[in-house]
Parts: sequence; structure tokens; C-alpha cells
Amino acid sequence: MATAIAAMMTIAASAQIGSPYIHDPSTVVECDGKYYTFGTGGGGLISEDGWNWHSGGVRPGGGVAPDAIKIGDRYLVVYSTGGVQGVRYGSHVYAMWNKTLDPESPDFGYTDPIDIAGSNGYEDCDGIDPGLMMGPDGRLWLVYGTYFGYLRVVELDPATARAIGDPVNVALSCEAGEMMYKDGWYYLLATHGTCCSGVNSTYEIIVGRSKYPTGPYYDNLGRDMIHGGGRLLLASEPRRIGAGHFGRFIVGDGIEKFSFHFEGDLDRSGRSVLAIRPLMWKDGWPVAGKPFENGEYSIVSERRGYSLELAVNNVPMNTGARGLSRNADGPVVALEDQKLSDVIGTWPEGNIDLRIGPELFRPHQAWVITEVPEAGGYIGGAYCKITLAGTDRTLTATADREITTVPEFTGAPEQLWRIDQLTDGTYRIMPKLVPGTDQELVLISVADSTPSLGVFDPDSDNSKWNLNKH
Amino acid sequence: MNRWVIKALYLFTACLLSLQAFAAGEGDKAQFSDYYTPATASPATPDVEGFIRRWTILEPIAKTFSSNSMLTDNFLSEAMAETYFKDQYTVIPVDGSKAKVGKTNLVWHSLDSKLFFVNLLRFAEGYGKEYFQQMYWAVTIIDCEEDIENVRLAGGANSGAVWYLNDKEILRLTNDRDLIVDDCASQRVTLKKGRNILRGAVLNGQGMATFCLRFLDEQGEPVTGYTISSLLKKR
Repeated sequence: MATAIAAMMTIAASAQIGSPYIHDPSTVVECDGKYYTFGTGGGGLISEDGWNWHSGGVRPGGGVAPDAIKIGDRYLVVYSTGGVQGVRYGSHVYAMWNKTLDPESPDFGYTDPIDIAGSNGYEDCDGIDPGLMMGPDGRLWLVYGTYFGYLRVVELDPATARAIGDPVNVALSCEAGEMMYKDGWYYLLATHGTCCSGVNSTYEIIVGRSKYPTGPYYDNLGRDMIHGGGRLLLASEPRRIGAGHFGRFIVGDGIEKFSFHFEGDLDRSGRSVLAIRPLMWKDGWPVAGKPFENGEYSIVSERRGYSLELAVNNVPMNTGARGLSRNADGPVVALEDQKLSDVIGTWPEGNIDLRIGPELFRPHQAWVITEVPEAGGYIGGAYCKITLAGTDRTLTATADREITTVPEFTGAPEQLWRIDQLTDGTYRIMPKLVPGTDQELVLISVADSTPSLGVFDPDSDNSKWNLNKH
Repeated sequence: MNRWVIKALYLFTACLLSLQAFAAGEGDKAQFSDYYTPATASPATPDVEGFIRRWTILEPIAKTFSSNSMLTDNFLSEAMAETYFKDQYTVIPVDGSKAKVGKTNLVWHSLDSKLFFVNLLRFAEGYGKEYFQQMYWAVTIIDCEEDIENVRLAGGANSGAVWYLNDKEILRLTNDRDLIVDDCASQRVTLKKGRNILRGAVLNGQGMATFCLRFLDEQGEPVTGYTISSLLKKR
């Protein structure tokens, strides 16, 4: 439970620059081009690009499991304290406002915290772990609570953050609540499992949905979350254990992410770390995307299902005459794939343009996508280079808003690509920079067989690609 | 399956096809008029979907290649580097004029396609020409009242094709392709104010020979704000 670790989290507050160490992170909020998240114990993380995080966020009040949201031109930050007046589950949720989250700004300064919700220590509720949501109708909602009883939802005045009306019990025996809205449904995210035990935690994010912000919230089997229901969104990944404290971040139409912490990262001494993953939607339910993996891929257009390829001469495979019933009587043997060495000598040495063609799993259609950590990143990912497998030939954006390949990777920004998984599971592929323009352009299909750069349209298959790992 | 049974099935199928061919007769042959009308002196416009239907097409030139899969980038480059007739990259042909290819005079025909695409096989057949393993040259005149920038020539062809706008190659369709709307597209080009010449050649081995072309804007919508003409003899 979050309260139990409040004292321990002073360590996380002093995390090194470039280290995403945090526990119970608030929803990531963008402010003046930087990204912020706050954690248990005070303070928080800042990132210039959404990828490289370091300490420096300022949140007074201590306590546990804050949340943050932008309302109008102000930022509302809530946090909670437990064990008030010696009563173990007597807890309070506090709210404070700020004009900016940048502690270097002259406008930075929190208002005095006000008590907006909580628990008296004798009821079946532990009033901590607050989560905020602005509904589509402009109504502001707060969810709070832990395993000690119920999660509760109460409406807040979006001008003052003071509670309106009485709280409603919506879920039992979970914590780290957060709400979100999409397409007529309200979603309640929370966690089940063991918190705060590092790599031995079993924290997992679950979700239910309702037509109303005050519930009832049902899972995919129709179980009410107040009966313990919940559909699993994410538990663990290889070497990263115990997902909790969901926060939704909408990048733009068709692109959503969610932030959370892993209780224990085996690659980082088992410490609790901030993580950001793609948020997808399937049949009205949120689905967790996976972190991007370096590897060899076919880059396949959603428009036609064709594969991005070098515009080079097709080199037939020399397997002898086949087709219909010819040579049907010989022994059956496995043939080798066409190899790069079979064809590369037929290719030009300079720039080679691109096509999109039927997938034949040939060397001119195989791409290696590799993160380039030193090139920086974006919310949830590092910029990548895209090279033809077995070569250094690199996909590059050009000044005439087209694409080509150049013989070698130089690290130039037009050779770096941002890869975002979209809410439907396909990908947007966008160069870090297109020479000669500030316009954000992405890889698109302008015809079934012709790639180019154009403005991203989340409603068009022209803007979407599938990455099929070899 | 028993080999004799397979042979019997082949024989039965062949008999059915023969009977069908006999029943079809001459009256069921494709009529040229189902595909084309003569171009008129009045400028045409693209159809509502932007397809260019008015073309001046040269009777086909025999070109030997065994398969459409031979229509690689290199093959097309070599094919288009060859000289077939005088001024092949600059002539704006008049309807009924001739081009001398080898020892043969071939005729240019200005036509409006009744379909969104141009059926080159029916064109050749209609003028009594061989239609397999042929190269078809086509030219059209596009007049614009003002520059139309950032458009792409998009189209499909059965099978290989190369297209030039105002003497510059802008679109190439390689390999064994089917007629698919917007199969390939050029980079962004400008249709300049005044007269533009769009010309190209389509190559096809066996089977149907067709092409379709239109201009698309930055949003992928058809461009229709121009007129299309052919040069006709004074009547």
C-alpha cells in the first residue's frame, strides 16, 4: 500500500539526472514543452522530450501517490496523507493549484493546499491515492481509496477543486484509481496485487467500464468492480515487474500513451521506475501496447498490405522452371531464401528511392529498426534509424517532402524516425525533421505502390503501417 | 485422382469451351464503339473522379518480350531510350497523322474513352492490329487557367508504363501490374498555367492491356480544374 512506503520514498526524490526512478507516479502532464510527473514522498520527474527523465519536479506537501491535470490555464495537483491524528486509515486528499509546473518559471507557485476528500479511519475506506478526470461535459471527478475497503468517486468543482455532493463507492479491494472517458464509456483503472515489494510485487493494472462516472463499473465478464471485478490491462513485462498507477496521456488523435510505474526493474537494481507504453483500444476496451523492440521488420502499409522496398530491379530466384505441373516428379527439397549477396551487386551505389510492393520476403524489403539512444526521444520512445538489413543504407526524409535511402547512416535528424503505435495497433512513422520545413510530416502511402511524406491523418490507412517482425 | 478420369475431365471441359465459342459467334465480339468515341473539337474535362479520358493514341508498336515480369526498371529504361519514330518525345500528334516506325506507317487516333480507363487491347483490335507484345504511345493536352501546384499523377496500368509531363519523366510503373486505380503516384508536380503535355507509353505482353491516369491533390482528392484536348484536322 502506498502509505506504507511514504517514508522510504525520500530516496526516489533524489534520483539522478537521466534516471526515471519514481513510485506512484501521477499522470504525465505537459507544460510549456516539458513533461512532468510527481511521485510519493514529494518532488517529481521532468523530461525535455518525454523520454529522458530526471529529478527536479517540485511538489510540496509530501504524502503519497499524487495526480495532476491541466484545467484551463492552471494545473491542479492532488496528493494524500494517511495516518492522520494517529488513526491508521484516517486520510486526507489535498488539492493545490499552480500556473505552471516549471519551477524555474517566475509564475511558479502553489496555492495553499485544501482538504477535498478523505476517510475518518473508522469507515471501510482509506482516503489516499487520488486520481483526477475531466469528463467530456466539463465535470471534474476524483477517485480515491485503497485495499482497505472501497474506492470512491466524488465530483469536484473544476474552479476550486472542492468536493460537490457525496462520494460513491465504486470498487472494492484495489487502489491507485484513475478514471478516463472514451466514446460514451467511463473507465475506472486501478490495481490489484502486492505493492511496494520491488521485484516481488504482484501489482497489476485492471479496468472496468460504466456509462456513468459514479458506476457501476463492470469488467469484460460483467463482474462489478465492487465485487472485485476487473479486466487486466498490464501486470509485468520481461525484467520489469508489477505495473501500477495508470495515467492516460493523449498525444493527439489516434495516438495515446499511458504512464505507470513498474515496482521493480531487474535491469535497474530492482528499483521502481516510470514507464510509458502505447495505449490501444479494442472492442471498447483499453489494451496495453508493448515497448518497441529493435529488430528486423517488414514495414507493411495498412492501405494495401504491401511492403516498403527499395525501387530496384526485381532479381528472379533461379530455382528452375516451376509452375502448374511442370517438373512435378522430382524430389522435394527446401530452397534457400534469396540472399542479399545474390542481389546487392545489381543495385546502384548512390541514393535509391522507394516503392511499396507485394511482400516476397526479399532482401530489398527487409528493414532493421534500431533505437539511437544518443539522438534523444519523444513521449514513450527513442528515435530510431531504419536501415536495409545487412547494409548501412538508411531511410531518409528529403527536402522535397519525399523519402529516399542514402548509402550510410550519419545521424542527421532526417534519418531519425519516431515510431508511435496508434490506438488501433498500427504504427505512425515520422522523421524527426524534414529538411526545409517545420511541418510535422509522416510516412504515408500516396498510392498503393508509392510512399511519400504527408500530414498524419488518424482516420486514413494511408498514414498507418504495420511492423511485422521477421 | 485416376489419370484417365483427369483426361476425361479435360476433354469434357474442352468440348464445353468449343461449344461456347461456337455459340458466341461474330455478333458477340467486342465493339470498338463500346469503348471509344472520336474526340471532338470542344475541350473535354476530367471525369468526376478526375480520370483523363481523352487521348491521342498511336497504333501499337511490336515489342518482343516473353513475360510482363520482364518489365523491370532496367527494361523500361532501355525500351524508352530506343527511338521508334521521329520526334517521339516532342510531337503533339494530330488525329489521323502518321508516324513511321521502321517501314510501317502507324496512325495516331484521337479518342474519348467511354470508361475511366483506356482499353488498349480493344484499341488495337479495333484498328485491326496485333495486340499482344506491343508498345502503345499516348499523348494528351492539358490546359490550365492557372498553376495547379503540389499535385501527383496517379494511375495504374496493365502492365508496365512510363509517363512524362512537359518532357520530364514523372511516373514509372514497373513489373507485372494489374489495372488498379492509384496503384502508383508521381512525386509532387505543378500543372503550369497554359498548355501542358502529358505523354507516355504502355507495354504489355499477353492478356489485357489498359491504363488509367488522374491527378490527385495533397489530400488525395481528384484534380478536375483543367481541360483536355486533342489536335484535330480542320473539318
